[in-house]
Amino acid sequence: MILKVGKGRLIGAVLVVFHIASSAMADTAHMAVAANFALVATELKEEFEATHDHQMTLISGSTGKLYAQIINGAPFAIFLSADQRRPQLLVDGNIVRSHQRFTYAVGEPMFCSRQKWPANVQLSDRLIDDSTRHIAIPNPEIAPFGEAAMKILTNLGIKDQISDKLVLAENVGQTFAFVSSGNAEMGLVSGSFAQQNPRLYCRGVLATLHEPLKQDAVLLPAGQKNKAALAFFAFLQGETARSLIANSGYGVPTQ
Amino acid sequence: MIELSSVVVTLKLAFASTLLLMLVSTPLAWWLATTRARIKPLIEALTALPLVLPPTVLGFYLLILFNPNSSIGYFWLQTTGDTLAFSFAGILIASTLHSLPFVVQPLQNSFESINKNVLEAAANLGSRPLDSFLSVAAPLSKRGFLTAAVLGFAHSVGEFGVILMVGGNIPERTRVISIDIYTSVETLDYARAHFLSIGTLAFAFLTLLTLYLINYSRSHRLI
Repeated sequence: MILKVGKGRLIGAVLVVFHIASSAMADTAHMAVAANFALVATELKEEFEATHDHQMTLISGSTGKLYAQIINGAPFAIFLSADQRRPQLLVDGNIVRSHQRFTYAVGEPMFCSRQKWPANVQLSDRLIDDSTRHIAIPNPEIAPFGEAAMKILTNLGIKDQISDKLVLAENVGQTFAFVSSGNAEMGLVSGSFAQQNPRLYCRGVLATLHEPLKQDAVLLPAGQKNKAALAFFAFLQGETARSLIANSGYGVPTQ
Repeated sequence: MIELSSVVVTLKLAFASTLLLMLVSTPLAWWLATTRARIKPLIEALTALPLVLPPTVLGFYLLILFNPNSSIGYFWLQTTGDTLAFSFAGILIASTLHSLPFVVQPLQNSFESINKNVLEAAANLGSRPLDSFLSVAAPLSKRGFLTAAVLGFAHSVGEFGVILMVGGNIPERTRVISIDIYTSVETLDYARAHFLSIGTLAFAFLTLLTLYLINYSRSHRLI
């Protein structure tokens, strides 16, 4: 079927499309976000867009996947990694300038479950107990929270005992889905996810059991001349963003 | 030496799915081909759903159905002692559901193309429905069975999205080739990704080529 549109209206429509396209090019930036931080990033985006004349679009995934996409030319302006290793690799590869990289948050891994968790039951006892059939963690090869999970299990001395129970999720978001839907009895997620489902029983992990999960942000080549990206990168280092991050289950490094 | 557990899981899954698919689809396709019931279009539409639905829709609902707090998940856990999510049984169910139209449709087409007079003649000679299916319809539908089995097998080998959502990427249990490739690409292990991808590509091509060669030689013999 051919649409009958008046000439004037057609030109109008074309102009509207061009307007949207051009404003999008000037003021929008794509930001790649490690899945553990996706919820907080969405809040930051809303706060940023309310106070600035720019738009941000978020793409969340595991840090490893996003890194692979970036070095293969994905058009991201900013990368909020879940570790320091990938940002360092980007600096080493001369993709990112070293001064355009900083630690925006320190992740706090938490074990969550849909079943009640009495205070006198130790984490390791709970994990090796028969009632815990599955322990969901982000895939340690691609997600730093998964690396931390393996470190914690090793330091608790139960890694070999529970290796049959491990379920590898794509990222913290999928881990959360596995635990929150009740398919995995236990799972390790980030503090921000732990706050999401009031029906979950969550508990933090002693900081001595793993390395601090410092998460670095970098400004990518696509963001160097993008006003939205530059503004967001500055916003992320400001007090508003820092207090929002601190209230969402993350540590914030002292400046 | 390249670790090949995902290839083993995939082959196991493909053989088991094909077997299950043939068992479920044969009576279903036969019913669809012969029935005059009013709900036929409804059942046809339901069976064809996996052709058009994103695998994520199926994966999402299966994840909800599989959890031990749901009645199905609870029943399974009580009877087998294992959960459906993150288990081979779980990805087998997911894969079978997702491949159903690829098996039902060729079978149904094949059954529908059988000359009704032949079946009526069998009935007039006193043959019971099951008997006329086994000794008349089934032998006449050999090619339909072959096409259905090959498509079901090949589609199970190519399964990805549903398994990604309900499988949990567990080596030797639910990590199939497609997910192995996906993880290899994410971890920048391109050598492994190439190895598995080329193998899968060659397998898929040879499977389809064999199928078409068989069809080609048969149709030429008829002329």
